[in-house]
Amino acid sequence: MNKRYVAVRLTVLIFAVLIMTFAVLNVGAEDSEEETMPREYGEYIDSLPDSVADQMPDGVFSDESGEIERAASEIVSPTYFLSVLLRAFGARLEELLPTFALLCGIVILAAVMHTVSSHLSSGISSAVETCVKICAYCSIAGVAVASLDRFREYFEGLFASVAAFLPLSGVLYAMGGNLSTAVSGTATLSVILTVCQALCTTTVIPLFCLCLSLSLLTCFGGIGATSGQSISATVKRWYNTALGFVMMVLTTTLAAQSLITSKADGAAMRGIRFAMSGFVPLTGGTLSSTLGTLAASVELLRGSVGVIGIAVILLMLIPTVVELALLRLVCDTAAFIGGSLGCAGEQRLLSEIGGLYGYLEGVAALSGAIFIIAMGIFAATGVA
Amino acid sequence: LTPMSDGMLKVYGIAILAAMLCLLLKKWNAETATLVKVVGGVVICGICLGAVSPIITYMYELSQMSGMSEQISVLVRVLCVAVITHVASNVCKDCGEATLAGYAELGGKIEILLLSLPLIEGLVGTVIELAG
Repeated sequence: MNKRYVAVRLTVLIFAVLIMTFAVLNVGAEDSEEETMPREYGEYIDSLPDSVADQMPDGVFSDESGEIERAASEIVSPTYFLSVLLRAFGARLEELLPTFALLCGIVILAAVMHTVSSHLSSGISSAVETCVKICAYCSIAGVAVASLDRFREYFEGLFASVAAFLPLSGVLYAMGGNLSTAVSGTATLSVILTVCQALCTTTVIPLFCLCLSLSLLTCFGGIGATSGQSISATVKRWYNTALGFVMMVLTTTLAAQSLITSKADGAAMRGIRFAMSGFVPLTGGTLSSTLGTLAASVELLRGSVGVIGIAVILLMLIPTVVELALLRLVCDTAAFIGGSLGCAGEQRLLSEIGGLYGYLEGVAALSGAIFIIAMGIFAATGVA
Repeated sequence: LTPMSDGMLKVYGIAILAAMLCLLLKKWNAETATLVKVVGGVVICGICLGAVSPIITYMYELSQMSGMSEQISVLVRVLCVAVITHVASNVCKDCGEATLAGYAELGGKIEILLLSLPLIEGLVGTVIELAG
C-alpha cells in the first residue's frame, strides 16, 4: 500500500516539475514585432487532434507572430490550465459513472451468489463459488481492457504531435543561428521520439495485459496467492524503474547536447558579428545590431512556440491522467465495497487493477514529461 | 410489519404441516414419514423457485443493460442446478442413502462444470489474448 502512495507522490512531483517548467518560460507579447510564421508552424497546428485544437486560444491559429505570442501568454496563465483541468475532471467523471455502477453491480451480485452458495452443501457450494468467481473476474477484466482504448489514443496523439513539432523546432533553431543545435537537437529529439514510441507501443500495454493476466491467476489461487505477494506489482515496479532510467538518460543527453551546441553556435555567431562590424565599411555596425534584434525576436518566437508545444502535450496528458486517476479511484472504491461484502477475491482483483492504472498513470506522466522537458529545453536555449 | 406474499405463507404452512405429519407418522410408519418429508420439501422448493422468477427476470433485464447477459444467464442456471442438486442430495440423506446423496452431488458438480465451460473458455481466451 505504501508503494502505491509513493507512486502517487511521484506523479504529483512530475506534475509540479512540469508546471514549474511551464511557468518559468519567458513569454512576452508587448515588445515584439509582427512577423509571419514559418510554414512548418502551420503544418504543426494542422496536425493537432480536434480535442486539443478546440481548447487552444484563437491566437494560436494565426499566422502573425504577435498574435501567437499573445495566445502563448494566455496559455501560461494559471486560470487557463485550471479551467482545462476542471473541464477534464467533470467530463471524465460523467463518463466513468456507468463503469463504477457496473463494477459495484458485479461485486454485489458476486456477494449475493457467495451468500446463497454458502447455504448449499459443501461440494456444490465450492462448484458454485468457482463459477461465480469466473463470472465476476471475466466481467471485471473486460471492464479493465475496455478502458485501454483512450490510453492508446493518448500515445498516438502524443507521438504524432511531437513528430509534427520536429521540423518546426529545426527551422526555429536555424532561424536563431543555432545551426549545430538544429541538427543535433532535432536528431536527439527524433531519437527520443523513436525510443518512446517503440517502448510505449510495444511494451506498456502488453505489460498491462500481462500483469492483468497474472493478477487473474493470482486471484484464482494460482501463482503467488499463498505468499500474499503480487507478481504483477513486482513486474511493473521493475518496468517503471527501467523506463524512468531510459527516459532520464535520453533527456540528459538532449539537455547536454543543446547546451554545448548552443554555446558553440553562440561563439561562431559572435565571431561573424565581430567580423561584420569590423570589416564591412560604414554599414557593418548597423548590420551587426540588426542581427542582434533579429536574434531577440526569434528568441521570443521560440519561447512562444515552445509554450504552445508544451500546452499541446499538457492538453493531451491532463485528460488521460485524470481519467486514469478516476479509474483507479473507481476500482479502489469497488474493491472497498467488495471487501465490506466479504468478496475477498473480487476485492483483491479490483485492488490489483487499481494498481495497474497507477502504473499507466506513471507511464503517461513520464512520457509526457520527457517531451515537455525537451520542449522546455528548446524554448529556453538562447539564440546564437 | 411488512405484508408477506401468499407464496411464502404457503411455504410456512406446508413446512409446519409436513413437520407435524412426520412427527405423528414416525412412530407408526417411518417410511410414510420420509415420503411426506420428501414431498413437502419438493413442494416448498417448487414454490420458492416460482417466487424468485421476478428476481431472475429483473436480473436478466439488468444483464442486458450492462452487457453481461451471458454471465448472468450462466449464473442463474448454475444456481438452479445447485438448488435442485442440494434438494436431491438432502432427500437422499434423509432416506439414509448417503452414497446416493454423494452421487447426486457429483452429478450436480458435473452439470455446473458443463454450464461454466463457456465462461472458463472465455476466461482462458481473455488471458491468452492479454498475455499474447
